Amino acid sequence: MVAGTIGAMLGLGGGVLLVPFLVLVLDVPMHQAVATSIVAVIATSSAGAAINIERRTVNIKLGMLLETTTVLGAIAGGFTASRMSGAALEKIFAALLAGVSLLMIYRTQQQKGEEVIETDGLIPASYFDESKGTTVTYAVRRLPGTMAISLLAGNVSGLLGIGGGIFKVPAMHFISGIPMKAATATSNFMIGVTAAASAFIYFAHGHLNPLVASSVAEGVLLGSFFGLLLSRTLKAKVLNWIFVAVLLFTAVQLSLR
Amino acid sequence: MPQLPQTKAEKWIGRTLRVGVWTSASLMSIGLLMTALLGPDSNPTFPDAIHWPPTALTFIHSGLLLLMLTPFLRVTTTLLSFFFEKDWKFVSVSFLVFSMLLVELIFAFR
Repeated sequence: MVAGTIGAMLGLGGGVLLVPFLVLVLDVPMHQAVATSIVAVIATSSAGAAINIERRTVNIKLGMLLETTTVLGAIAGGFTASRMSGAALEKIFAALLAGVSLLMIYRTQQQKGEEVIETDGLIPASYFDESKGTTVTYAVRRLPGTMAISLLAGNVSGLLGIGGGIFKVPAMHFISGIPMKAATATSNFMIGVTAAASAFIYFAHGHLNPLVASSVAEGVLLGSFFGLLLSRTLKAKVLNWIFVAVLLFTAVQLSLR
Repeated sequence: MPQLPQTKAEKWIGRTLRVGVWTSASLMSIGLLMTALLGPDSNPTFPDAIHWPPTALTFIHSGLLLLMLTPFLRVTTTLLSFFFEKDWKFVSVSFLVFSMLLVELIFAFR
């Protein structure tokens, strides 16, 4: 449930929290934990997207564009896995995540609380921000860079049982200049598709324990609704800081594994 | 609350997701409740668990399967709504995503 709350709020699947919890606390085997987490990612994404679409914070066109590279990355995931050892992969991610969180801290400090929003670019969109009481209009810049990061995100998601939002959100925010709320909502919208691509592989191979997976899915769904209630009134800056905390947590947890 | 109006595509995509999530959550709840009351099923693997009369695991598996299919349905709805809006650029983008997912799906069950 906690994973669902945080996941829905931050545009992640919650997999980064769920996998270690299942393995370390509930003693679920690693491959089963990854499979369960992928199902949980789909649950958070679908529940979250349904509500975020109503709030108009999801940029569907941007989401679909990024999905092309992300799904490609997910398919290539099996290839990457066979070339590299799991331990090496985890160390690389840990370093990468630590780097991203430092960047986020630096940029959040620089912005002095107000988000810098770009308005000239592709796929212009706007939404109503309840925490500010204004309509925010933005556009997407430097799309190829974000698409490249999405490829990477798709690639790692199947391997680690995460949605990949942890890479996509910072990319959308920093490279393409998309406000945090729209970035998290669009990422949340996308990760279900990324996860679904690998979910069936686990399902078909019988890695999914139906009782564990369905209980976790129900918990995550419940958690998503809390997360979405919270995120409506949350300030972008607070969202930023929670995101940084989760990034650092994931980095530490991966490097200690 | 003052929200900006939704486009037709957004309405349909939202509806697809909501129906998928609620139906699968209900199916899984029935299955979990049955497990709690009647004890666990003997046959927990996927294709064998789908049969009639339904047992707890039939419900759980159908719920999980529907949950996993929801993103596919969403991509299909997106594709159709861009098609009806005659937005050919995004019809091709959605079609690309759709076909890649289909390839994955076929690979998974081979």
